[in-house]
Amino acid sequence: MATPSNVRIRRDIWKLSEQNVWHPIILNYAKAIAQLQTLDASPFADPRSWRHLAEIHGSSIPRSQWPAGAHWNACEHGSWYFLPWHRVYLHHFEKIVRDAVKTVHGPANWALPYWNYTDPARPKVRHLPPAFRDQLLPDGSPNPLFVNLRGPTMNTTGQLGTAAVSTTTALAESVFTDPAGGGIVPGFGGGVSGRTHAGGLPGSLENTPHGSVHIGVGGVNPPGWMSRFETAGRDPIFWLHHANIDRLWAQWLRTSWHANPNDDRWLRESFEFGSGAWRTILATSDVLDSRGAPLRYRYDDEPAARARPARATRARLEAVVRRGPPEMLGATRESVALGETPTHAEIEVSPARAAALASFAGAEQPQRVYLKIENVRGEKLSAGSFHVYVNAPPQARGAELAKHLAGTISMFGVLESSQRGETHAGEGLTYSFDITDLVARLSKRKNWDPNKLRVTFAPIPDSAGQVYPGDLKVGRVSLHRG
Amino acid sequence: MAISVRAALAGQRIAWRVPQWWAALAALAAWLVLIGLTYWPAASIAHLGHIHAASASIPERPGPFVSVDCVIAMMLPVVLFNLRQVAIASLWGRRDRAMLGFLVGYSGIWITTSLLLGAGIDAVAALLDPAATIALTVIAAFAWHLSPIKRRALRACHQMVPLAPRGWQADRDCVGLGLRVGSNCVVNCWVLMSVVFTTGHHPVIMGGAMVVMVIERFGPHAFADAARALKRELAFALTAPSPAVAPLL
Repeated sequence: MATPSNVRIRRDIWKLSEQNVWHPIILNYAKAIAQLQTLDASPFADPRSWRHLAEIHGSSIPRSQWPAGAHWNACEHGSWYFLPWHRVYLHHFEKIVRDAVKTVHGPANWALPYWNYTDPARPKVRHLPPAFRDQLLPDGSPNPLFVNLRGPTMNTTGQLGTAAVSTTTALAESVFTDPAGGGIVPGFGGGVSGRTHAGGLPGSLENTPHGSVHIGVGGVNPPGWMSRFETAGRDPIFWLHHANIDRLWAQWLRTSWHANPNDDRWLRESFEFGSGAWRTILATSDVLDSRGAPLRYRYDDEPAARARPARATRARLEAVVRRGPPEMLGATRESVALGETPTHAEIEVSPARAAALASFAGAEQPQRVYLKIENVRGEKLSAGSFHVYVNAPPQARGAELAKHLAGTISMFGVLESSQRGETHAGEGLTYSFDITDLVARLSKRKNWDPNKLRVTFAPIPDSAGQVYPGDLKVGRVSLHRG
Repeated sequence: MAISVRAALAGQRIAWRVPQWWAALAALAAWLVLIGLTYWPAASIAHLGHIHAASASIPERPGPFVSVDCVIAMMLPVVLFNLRQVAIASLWGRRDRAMLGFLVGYSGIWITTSLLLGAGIDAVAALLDPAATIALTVIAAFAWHLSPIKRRALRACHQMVPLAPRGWQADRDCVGLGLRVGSNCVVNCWVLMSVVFTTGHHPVIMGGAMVVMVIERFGPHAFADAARALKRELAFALTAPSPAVAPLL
C-alpha cells in the first residue's frame, strides 16, 4: 500500500542541515517557537504557550498555581506507557506548532524533524544540529532554538558519546514488555505498570539512548534543561530527540517477530493534553498506526508502503509468558556509591544457585540471566551515565574491558525520583539488563564464577571530558534467572 | 497418583508465578468469616469479645479477633502487589518469610491505628449524635481525598526499597518496608477507615471502602484485570505440561 498524500513526512534534521543549515523546515520550526513563546505569560494558561507545553512533561510549579484545565507534570517514565504517552505528546505538540507555522506563512503540511544521532558512518550527527547552536537567526534576531543551559561545549564543539547514542541493546530486545510483570525483564518498551511518573522499570530504549541523550545534551554540573523532567520540554531539541525515539519504536517493530503488547491495560489507556480548542485525548490503541488518522505521519527512512502489522511469533511470546517472574539468585548486602572513579560491588550467590549457573551453557539453554541495578538515588550527579561491567579484571582496558560490559545506566530522572512528592515515592530509579549472552561468553572464556560475581560501575565523562563530585548510590545489585 | 502429581505441579507453578497466593486466600477467608459473623445469628461479634463503645450513640466496636480479621480482609487485597514485589526480590527459599515479615510490619501499623482510631471515634461520638458523626467522617474523607498530603502518601504506598538477601538484615528490611508502606497507607486511608468505624464495621461498607482503596491504587479496571490474570494463571497452572523453569529446590 502506497503512502497516502495526506501523510506528512518527518525528516532527518542532519540531512536537512547538510542541504541548508536554515532549511525551511528548520527555520519554520524556529519561527513557530518564537510565536509560541510570545504566549508565555504566567500562569501559562494558553495551552499553546511554550511553557504550558513544556510543563506537561514535568513541572515544579505547585499544583495550586496551575491554570484551569492543565494536565501538567504527567510524563510517563519507567513504564510501558513511556512510548505511547510520548507519541501522543509529540502529536499534540506538532499540531500546535503546525498551526503556528501557518501563521508565519509556512507550509500547512509541516512536520517535526527528528534528530538521528546514531549513525556510525556520520559521527558528526552526534553534535547538536548547527541551527540549535547558532545564537541568531539568519535575520539577526535571537534564535529560539539556542539554549544556554546545556552541557559544557554542547553548543560549540562538544558531541554525545558513542555509548550514549547506542541503539544496539534496545533494538535487540525480543519483547516489548515482560507479561509476567516481575519488574526484572526490561524489554524494549518498559515494565508493566500503572500510570506513573517514575519508579517502575524503564525499557531498554528509555534507558539508552533516550535517557543518556537527555543528560548528554543537558549536562550534569549543573544539570541543564534537558537533564531534568521539569525543564526538558523547554529545550527545542527535546522534541526532535523524542521524534527519534518514536522513530526507533517504528524501526523495532519492522523486525518480523517484534510486536506491541496485546494487553487491554496497555491498549485502552488514554492520555490527555491541553484544553479547550487545543485539547488532545487519545488512547494507546489510537496511535499504533502512525500513518492512519489521527496521526498521519511517517519517518523518511520508513518504507513508503505500509508494512504489515508486526505479530510476535507465538512461540517466542509463550516462552516469555511461561517463564514467569525470574528467580533472584543473589544480591549485594550493602549499597554501592557511584563516584568519580570506578566502584565495585560483590554479589553473594548461594552455593546451590552458583552451581546451577556455573553449568550455564548459553544459547542452548532456555534460561535468561538478568542483572538488576536497584534504587539508584542521589541529589548531585557525578556523571550522566555509568557503564556496568561484570567480572572485569582490574587491569582490563579498552576492548578487553568492553567484553565485560553488561550495559549503560543513564541518570536521567534520578534527581526527581529521589525526592518524595506527589509524583515520586523517593525510591530512585531501577534498571535491569539481560546478561545471558555476556554470561555465555564469559563461561566459554572460563571467566564466569558466580561465587565471585563482581560488578563495576564506571562513570562516563561529559562532553567536556569531566566527572564531578556527587552523592549517587545504588541501593542493591541483584542477579536473577528466569 | 497421576492426579496428585498433576496437583503438585499445578501448586508449584502457582507458587512460582503467584507467590502472594496465600495472602489472597487469607483475605478471602477473612471476608467469609466477617460475612458469617454478620449474617449468621449464632455467631455474633459479641461472642468473640466485643468492646463496648464509650458512648451508646455509635455502634459497638469489634473485639481483637474481629479487628484482626477486618485488617486482613480489607488491607491484604490492597498490598498483594507489594507482597509480590517483596517475594520476587527475595531468594526462593525466603519468599514466604519475606512476605510474612512485610505483613508483620504492615498489619502491626494498621492494628495499632485501629485501636487509636476507635478511641478517637469514641471521643467524637461522645460529643455528637450518630448521624452527625457519620456525616462528619464522610465529609472529612472527601476533603482528605483532595489534599496533597494524601496524594504523596498514595504514591509512597507503591514504594520498594533494597532488601538484604539473607540473615536478620533481610527480616529487618522486610518488616521495615511493611512499616513504611503501612504508615503511608494509614496516612492515605485513615479517614476512609473512620467511616468504616462510625458505621459499625458492616461488611457492605467495608467492601465499598476496600473497592475505593484498590481502585485509587490500581485504576478503575483493577478488579477486571485481576480476574483476567487469575483466569490466565489458573489455566496455565492446570494445563501446562511442566514448569518451563523449575525452581532450584
